[in-house]
Amino acid sequence: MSAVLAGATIGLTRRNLLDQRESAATAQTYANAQNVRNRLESDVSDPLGVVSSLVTPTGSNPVLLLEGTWYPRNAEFSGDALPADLSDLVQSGQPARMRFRYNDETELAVGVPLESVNGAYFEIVSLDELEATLESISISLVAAALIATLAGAALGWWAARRVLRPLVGIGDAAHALATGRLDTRVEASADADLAPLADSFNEMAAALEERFQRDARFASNVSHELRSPLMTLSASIEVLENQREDMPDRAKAALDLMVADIDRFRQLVEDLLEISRFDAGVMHLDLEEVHLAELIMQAVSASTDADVPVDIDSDLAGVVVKADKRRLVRVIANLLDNAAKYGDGATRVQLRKDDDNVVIAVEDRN
Amino acid sequence: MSVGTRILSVEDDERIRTAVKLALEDEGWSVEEAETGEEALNSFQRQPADVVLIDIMLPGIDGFDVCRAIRRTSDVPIVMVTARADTHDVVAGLEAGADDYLTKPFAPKELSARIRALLRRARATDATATHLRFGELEIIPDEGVVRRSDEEIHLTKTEFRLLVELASSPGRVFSREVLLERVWGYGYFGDGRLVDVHVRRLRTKVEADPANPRHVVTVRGLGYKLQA
Repeated sequence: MSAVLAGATIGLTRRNLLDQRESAATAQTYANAQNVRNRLESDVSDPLGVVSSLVTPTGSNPVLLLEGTWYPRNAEFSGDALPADLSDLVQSGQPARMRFRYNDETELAVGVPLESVNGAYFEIVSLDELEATLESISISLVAAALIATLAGAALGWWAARRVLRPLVGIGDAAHALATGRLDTRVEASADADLAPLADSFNEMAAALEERFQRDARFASNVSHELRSPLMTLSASIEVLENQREDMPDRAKAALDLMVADIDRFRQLVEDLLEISRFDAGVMHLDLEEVHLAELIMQAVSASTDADVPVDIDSDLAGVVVKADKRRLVRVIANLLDNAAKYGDGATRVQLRKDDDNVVIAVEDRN
Repeated sequence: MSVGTRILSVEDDERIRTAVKLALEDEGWSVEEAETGEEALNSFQRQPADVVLIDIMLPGIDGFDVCRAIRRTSDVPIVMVTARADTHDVVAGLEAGADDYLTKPFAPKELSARIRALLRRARATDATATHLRFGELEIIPDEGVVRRSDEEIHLTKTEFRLLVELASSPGRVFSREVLLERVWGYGYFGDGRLVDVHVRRLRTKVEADPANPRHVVTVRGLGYKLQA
């Protein structure tokens, strides 16, 4: 905006000033022309004298043409300085004015025909000073416009950032919440417009967290309670198993079913507890230093898929990590289980490197 | 297992208690029941069992207190029954004096295996190593005796077996896995905390300054060793 204004200002001012100058010069030339004509009409003997005695402001150079001879006050600005078009036009009896460049300077020439004495009167006025002034004004205006623009832009950017930053903050918090970090909260905002938003967000996050934890605690409690009946069933079924050979066939079959399912039941309860504890955020990892290669081999040989080949990257043969041994083994067992159930069987278990990480991969036929 | 080995089973849930008793008796053990901690302590005082099985969730005095109370007067093998392996209960139980633990629900067969492992005598590695000396410590594996500066120390069977195992190769580093196997009979998947807590307990009994052990030393990342 300021650039546009500056441009417009410069343009209009320039035109204004130049027009004014031109008008003034023209008026002055006319006045002087009249003076010259009067004097020449009475006495034509000393044209140079007439020209030289004219009162003109600085920068103004009168030139008189009389009976074909040029009489300049300033030898530098004579008839040949005048543009030919102007000269011819005025000599043909038409007053005129024209802007032109002479010796790298901008000049204005005004010409008035003096028919009664068979001559013409010209004034060559320098516009250079005006030009210089205009130029410095232009520069100032442009500079000012530039500064105003930059300052405006900077201010605008800063103000926008100030407004957006808390919004970006809330956006990030929402994302964190979505990925499961239910304890994410947003800092209370001092900004009157944003404070309600921040407060609402925190309220929502707290509600979500509580709801989630309540569900997890419920699942955890139920699973916990299931242990007791499972214990009784487990022990009782074992007693029956000890008598299996003495049972009639149907009882045997029934017992076998119970044995299989009780184990599945137990595992499900175990898994449910594991998940719900994790969700409720109360899982506690038992970290110890674990020799990874060994753990993987033990996990595989203890699984139902004990023959799956294990591929250990030679660099990683001795690597030790801090891990929850029991859970890590469980994860590998799960992966092998899934490979067997949904992937047509595991083909390979691999320990390899991946940038900064160590990767345990279970590959299956799919 | 020796005939008539008596297990004291402390469990407040009636059905669980009955089912466990049935199963253990089926395995050949003799089972005495207690519904509360108080009952258990009374029973133990009257006639000490050979093995004690305690559920930590008891009304009244909790399982940890029962364990500690028994430990004041006896080195009897104690197995704790906990709810989860990853809770602090396991460490608390071990620190209270238990030799091992099981999570509920457990298979009684598994419990039998654990008990058998706990009742095994500590073995000496060879005939000549009847008397082991490490500074002020004196160990006589066959008699199950440990002396520190000639004063006899009372160790539980498990603590003793751990010490003897470490003493079998002085200066050699034993990993947790190896100790779990030799002392408790567990394979790779044994719980390292069993070893860690027992080492701590051992230190409080055999070291002059348990916080700065001179004999039972930790070798970071590798395990433990015994030195003179």
